[in-house]
Amino acid sequence: MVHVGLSLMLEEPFRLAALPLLEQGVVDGLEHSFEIGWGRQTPPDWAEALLEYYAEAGRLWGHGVTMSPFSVRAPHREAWLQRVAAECRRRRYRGVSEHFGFMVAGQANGGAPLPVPPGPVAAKVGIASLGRLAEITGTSVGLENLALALSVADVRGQGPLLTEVLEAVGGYLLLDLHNLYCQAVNFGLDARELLGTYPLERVQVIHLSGGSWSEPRAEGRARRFRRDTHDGDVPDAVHGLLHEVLPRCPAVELVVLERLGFTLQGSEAAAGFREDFMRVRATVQERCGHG
Amino acid sequence: MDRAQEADRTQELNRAQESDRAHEPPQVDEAVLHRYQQRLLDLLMRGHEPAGIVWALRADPQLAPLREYIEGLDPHALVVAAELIARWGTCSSE
Repeated sequence: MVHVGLSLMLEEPFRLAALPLLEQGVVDGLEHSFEIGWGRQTPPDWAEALLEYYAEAGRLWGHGVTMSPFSVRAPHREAWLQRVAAECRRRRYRGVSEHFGFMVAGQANGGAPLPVPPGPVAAKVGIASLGRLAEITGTSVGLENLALALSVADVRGQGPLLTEVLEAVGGYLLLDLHNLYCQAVNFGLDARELLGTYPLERVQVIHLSGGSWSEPRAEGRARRFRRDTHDGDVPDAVHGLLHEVLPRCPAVELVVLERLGFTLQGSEAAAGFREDFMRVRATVQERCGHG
Repeated sequence: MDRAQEADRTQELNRAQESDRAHEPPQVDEAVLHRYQQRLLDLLMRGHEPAGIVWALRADPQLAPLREYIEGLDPHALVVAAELIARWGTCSSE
């Protein structure tokens, strides 16, 4: 049974946009980026109620952003792990995932994950980190493929490196199709061909989102660059990738639509968000026979 | 096979081995990988231009095992990385 769910946001526009879907009973699962509740923005009562409901149903998935699993030295990591362990004691998570890459090196924290040069040492560091996450949470653990690549070598190397790490710890792949799309269009590669470099048999969760284009300028010229900004509708090409990949992911359990809460202000944005969700749901029904 | 042919064959084998080595993943240890992570974050946080970032990484003797990877860094992607880090990055010693 493949479920279709949402990434929980705490802003009121998200609640208003998602409410009709929740009332229809079509949101099968929920993903919680638990770090957003660690800061000043504590989850409102309605969000706490949703978390409890989906945890009880065994359909709550946890997602982290700042662990930095491929950092060789990340002094913050142990405290982060302890906090995630406490979160997992508080609520039952079906699985906990993090992002491929590194954002910390000693005292410096980039705040956003960057790709790591592929190779045996990167694999060793990733295996140790993800293994520790599995040990401390006592749950399934996974990694999400990254949107930002700094070179073609990053794009080509990410799938094999994820394969090596996930196989070593028995982890799952959180396949973010918009991230894959970003890498493909930014480096002129075929997204379907890239899919073949990932361990699709390990995919348990799929992400879909929208994004935006920017025009970074370097060496005297600008070029279009796709960014994973979660602030727009899901592109047709990404819906197409979901259609293509679902039959190739025999272990997939959840397909998640991601969208930043504050970008859902206004009836048009909210309607587009719900249309995206129902389109995802229809694709899951068509390709998996249920959903 | 005469001596000249043997020398040619040896040279050919050496070239093939060098070519194979060029396509192997970079052989780095944890110290090198940490150095790369630290230097890249530092250069991005200081707002260096992409060409300056690549130049500084290439010029670092400790990063020699990563030279081929560093030379492949895309300048436009580095600009995007710098923007992200300017927005979200911190340094705990600050």
